[in-house]
Amino acid sequence: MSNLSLRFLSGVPLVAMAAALLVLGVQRVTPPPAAAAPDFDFGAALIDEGRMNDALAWYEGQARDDAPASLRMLAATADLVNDEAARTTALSRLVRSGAATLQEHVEAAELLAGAGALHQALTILYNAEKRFAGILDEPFLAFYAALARDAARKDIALPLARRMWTRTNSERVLKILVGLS
Amino acid sequence: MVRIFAFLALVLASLTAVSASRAEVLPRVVIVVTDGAPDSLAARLGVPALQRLGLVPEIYRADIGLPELDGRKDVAGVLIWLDEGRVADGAAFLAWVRRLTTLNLPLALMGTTPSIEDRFGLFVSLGVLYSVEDRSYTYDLTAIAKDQVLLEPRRRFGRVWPATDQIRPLEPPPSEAALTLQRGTDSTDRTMPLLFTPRVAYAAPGYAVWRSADGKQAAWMIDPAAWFTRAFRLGVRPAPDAGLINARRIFAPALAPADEAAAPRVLRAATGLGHAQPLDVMLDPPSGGQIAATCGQGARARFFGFDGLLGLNGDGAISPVVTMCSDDPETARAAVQAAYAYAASHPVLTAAISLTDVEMGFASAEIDALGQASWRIRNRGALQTLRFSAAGLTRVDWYASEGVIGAARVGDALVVSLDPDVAEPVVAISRDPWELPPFAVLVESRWLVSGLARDADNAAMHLQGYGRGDMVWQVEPRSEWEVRFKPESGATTRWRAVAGDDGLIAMSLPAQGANGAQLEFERQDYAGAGP
Repeated sequence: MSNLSLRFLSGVPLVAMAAALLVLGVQRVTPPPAAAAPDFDFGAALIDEGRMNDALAWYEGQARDDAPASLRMLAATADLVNDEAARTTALSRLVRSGAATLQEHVEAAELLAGAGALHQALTILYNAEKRFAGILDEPFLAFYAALARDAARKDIALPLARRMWTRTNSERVLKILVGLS
Repeated sequence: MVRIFAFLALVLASLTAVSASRAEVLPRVVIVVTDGAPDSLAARLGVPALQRLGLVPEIYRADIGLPELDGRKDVAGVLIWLDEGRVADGAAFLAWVRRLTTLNLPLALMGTTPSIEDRFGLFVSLGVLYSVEDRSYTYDLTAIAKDQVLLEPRRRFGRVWPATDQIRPLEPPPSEAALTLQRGTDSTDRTMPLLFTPRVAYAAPGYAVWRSADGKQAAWMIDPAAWFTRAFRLGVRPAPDAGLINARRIFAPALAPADEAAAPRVLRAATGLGHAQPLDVMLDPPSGGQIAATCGQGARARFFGFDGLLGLNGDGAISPVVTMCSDDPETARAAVQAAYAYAASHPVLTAAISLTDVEMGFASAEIDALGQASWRIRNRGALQTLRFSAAGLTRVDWYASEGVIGAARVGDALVVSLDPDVAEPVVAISRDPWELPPFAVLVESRWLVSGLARDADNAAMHLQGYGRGDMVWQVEPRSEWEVRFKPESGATTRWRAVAGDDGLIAMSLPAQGANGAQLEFERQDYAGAGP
């Protein structure tokens, strides 16, 4: 085999490697976004380890976009670490997002009322009245009426009391209605 | 006739002597009535709190059946703590509770109110006036009286109180409310969700324990020790403690192998504290906490960032359970070695101790009250510690005690260490001003101390333990001693020790106590012998 042939044969792999380098080497390998395991909750792991405040900070970050599930986790974690202000804020944001249940409306209103923010609490119950008109019960009305009375806005709760009285003829509702009238 | 009188007098005298010598056995059993699964709140929170007080819980299910307590002399009280309020038969439950009150058994009622038809009757039988509260909101409730000792030991109530029904005492003067809430400014509109009546200690739902919405997390809102002490009228009494020996937390790691064949490989490698040690092997490990390593979780082998996981911040013994797979002995080995490294660098007790034996001793121990401040302990097995909670200025009366090696303060408790070689020690306490013990007394020790013989100038004992023998003794201030240490198979080593103004001698004996050793003190300045 001639010297030229040898040079040619040894050059083939080099050329192939160069071609491969050109094609593959300059490409940045971009792995697909690493999806977290669907059943893994880092915040829950932190709670399991007793790192409650870290868990609260984690869920605060998760809830930046006001996703209802994240806000619920934030509210639950705030309850866990006994941070009433954080829980109030989380539930209020959940109510504002429109995704809160009736119970979450009531809890948010209780916390706000306990903190002295009667008008904000009343606003939340007013929204609950509009959003859950079909499932409101006497305990809700009792709370609504007490809050309306304490906030000097009996007129807010009066229509609901009248409607419930018409619907139920309940003695307790009548008592509330009289108190509001 | 004279003979008859003499005979009767002798009989009377002997009967009197017998009754005088019969000590009163302290009841220690608490009947715990629950309706939940094994992870009920009563089991998760109530049982450890009762055990911390030296009480022995006996658990029954209200939705299955209730125990007959007539004739039981060992019952200190009854705890009814339902999670969901389920009872098998409401009428039978009410009759059972009424029977308890006639037996004068202290009763604590917590958790969900029992679902029985005659709730009002149930509460009246306990000296409580109960009515359903229609107003479920509580934002306008204000605490106007609050027992600061009992409430909020760690977790605090928020501005919104848990919803509660109307609770008032039937007999206000003997009853005491630990918490009185008032609605608005109406002083007639009050409720007392934490209440002690002559027949019951009652905690309304949500007022003794906080529980997360998913039920997984729970925390005391009241001090359980203060609550149960008051509920069961315990007064001052020694509490057997299964978590401590010689004023140190027992360190007892265990290995839970997937199969028995894998265990020896880890056991061989699990040397630490200077000597191979026995390691409990649990083929059926408990679920839940204190699992230090599991298959495929190598990170957990390095577990000492996880104090909560191991219970390092708790009260009882430290007993991490290292679980392992047959194909992953390395993880288990690392976890075991990390456990030993922890034990070597922390003040724990590292000796040949079986936690099971200690716990059996806890359950079997009988305490005879010999007087107001003296108790004899019988049938205690491997249990070596008694604790007086909230001891204040209480101290051991060394002259009236027998078989007591030493005593120490752990938190607010007085912890008394018993001699394992003394079958029926007597512990006496005093509130008189502190005075110097008449001999050397142990404060704390990493090793077991037994067979202690001592007088004013000498002390001799047997030791056993792993790692270095760190221990502290209390002697007369500024006294001088010769310390002689002889391992089971080794030569005697002597040191000279001089106590400072605090009268403490702290020593760290060589790590040669695994197979046992002898230790002696002998006083050298002969202060006790006079000038």
